[in-house]
Amino acid sequence: MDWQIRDDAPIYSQLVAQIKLGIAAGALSPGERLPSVRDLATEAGVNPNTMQRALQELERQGLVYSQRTSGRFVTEDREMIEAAKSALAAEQVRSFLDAMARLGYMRDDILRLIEARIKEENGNGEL
Amino acid sequence: MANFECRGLGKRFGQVQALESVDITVQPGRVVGLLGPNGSGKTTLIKLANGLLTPDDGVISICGSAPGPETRAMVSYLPDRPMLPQWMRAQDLVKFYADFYSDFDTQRAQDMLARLGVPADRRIKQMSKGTQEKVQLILVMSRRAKLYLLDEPIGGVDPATRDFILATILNNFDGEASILISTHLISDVEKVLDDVVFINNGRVLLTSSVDDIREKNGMSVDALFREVFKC
Amino acid sequence: MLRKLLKYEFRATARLMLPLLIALLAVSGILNICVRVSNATESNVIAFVTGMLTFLYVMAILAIGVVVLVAIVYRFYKNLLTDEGYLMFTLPASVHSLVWAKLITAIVWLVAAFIDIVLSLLVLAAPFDIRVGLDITVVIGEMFNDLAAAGIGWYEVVAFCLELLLIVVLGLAGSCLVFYTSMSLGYSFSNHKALLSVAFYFAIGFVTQIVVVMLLIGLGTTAGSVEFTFEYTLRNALNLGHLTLLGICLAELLYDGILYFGTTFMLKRRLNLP
Repeated sequence: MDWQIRDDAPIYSQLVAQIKLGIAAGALSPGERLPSVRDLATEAGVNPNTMQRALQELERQGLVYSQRTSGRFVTEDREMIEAAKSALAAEQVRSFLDAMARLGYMRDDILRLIEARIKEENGNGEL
Repeated sequence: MANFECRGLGKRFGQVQALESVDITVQPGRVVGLLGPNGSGKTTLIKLANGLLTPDDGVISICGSAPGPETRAMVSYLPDRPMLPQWMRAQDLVKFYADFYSDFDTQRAQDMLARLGVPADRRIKQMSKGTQEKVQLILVMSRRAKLYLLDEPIGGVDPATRDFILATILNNFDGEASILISTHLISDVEKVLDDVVFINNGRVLLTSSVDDIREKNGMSVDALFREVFKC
Repeated sequence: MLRKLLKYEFRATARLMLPLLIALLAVSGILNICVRVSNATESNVIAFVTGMLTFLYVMAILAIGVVVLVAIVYRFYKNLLTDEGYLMFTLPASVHSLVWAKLITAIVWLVAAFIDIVLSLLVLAAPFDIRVGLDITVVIGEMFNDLAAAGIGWYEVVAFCLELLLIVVLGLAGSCLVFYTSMSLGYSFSNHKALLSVAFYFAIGFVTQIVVVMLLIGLGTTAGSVEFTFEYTLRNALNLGHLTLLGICLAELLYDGILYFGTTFMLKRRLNLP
């Protein structure tokens, strides 16, 4: 995974968001065993305690579960993964709409712009 | 029991009050950053913790005992200056550490020396300043100590070595150990810290966890530091 | 812990001391041969070489004297009062064992240098004829016989030798400890560390002299005011000798003790590394 830590938010919540994204996007497949806290922390260049806290948060949300002896795994509950994915998508859409609203676009204009863009990309054979 | 604790700590040098009523606690498993500008008292605090200075006021406890030969067996200390005898070779120093510290991991030290390309049969005085710093850090981090006191560990090294040092620090300590890192280069270490202590003119200004600072202030510790210590 | 410290202390000092001690013996050996050859021949070259070697020999003895002294002062300073102090004072060793390691090593090298110089003189004077060497043992044996005939057993001689040895060792320890104390005093300050050390060195010497003189005056007046009923027998004379030597030992022990306490106290409580 490619870890990006920004300056304006708690590190653990950014870790939660990035692992969630990894699960939703399929970079981490359902039932896959996660690396150890220490390895994940080293990979992300963060403190193991912070990584631990992020994983506990994910466990609390049900996206990750731990087995006493063999470690942590991504949930096999595909519905839950889908729900997380939808939530992330909704979040993306909302922030996109917010940004467009700040630029002064109305909903109809936004829809038209999106359609035009998709058509263009299809025309180029990229989608 | 805390791995490091000081209460009402004070130290004077002649007329200069270097530290005044400093209270700091470092719990097992925590990585704490001691952050402050130059001359704020960071090094004095760490020297006191090592028993290299005697406090004028207050008490220090390392895993429950006052600094002394017993606590030194539990503390691994990286000073902010080269401390290794110039005439010794890197491999002599590995033996030296293994001889004096029962928690020293010779294999780990040799692995790290090899990985960083330090010639083990070369004398310290024949090494560049950067290489000397690496040897010193490798020796200090190859111990399985209860408390690591690192004074400016990334002061004068290149970015690649700095990343290696931070990875080494994170990799090499277990859940019962604690690390106290003093530095003024905050952005580089921020991600590896649990808690931070801001110190200025010998007094503690702020004690907080990194994520609390980010949550409450909406900015990184580095940004907050720049704001607090604005010139 | 002291054993380990001693090991590293000897390793650090032997790098300098051993080559010097061996070099002195080598020079005296070669000089011995050259003197012989130049006596046997009329060669100017040999005479010149002999002259140079004699010069070298004298310089080597001086060098050993200087190096031993410098090694004692410099090792203590460099290893404990500069950046290396950060390593040494954070070892799980007590200040006592740190000071003892320095002191024992210093005394051993002082004694070794003395023995080395005596040996080199013997090598210089050594005849090719081994029998002269055997003669010396005969002379010593006769000396013991004469003493025994006078009623002085060999154990008396051994006792006197041991007492003298003790005086020498305690004296050497004292002269090292004066350096240690003055440096640990001087280096506890933040500025002018070296200058203050020198000042303390002379101050300690001055105070010591005053105390010794006062003690001697006190001893003299006491001895003058007390009437002795001293029978001049051999036994009594020997006892007085032992008593005097042991008295000197005791005085030295007290002196060394005070300096040792001063050094360790300063290093424990007032250490102020740069």
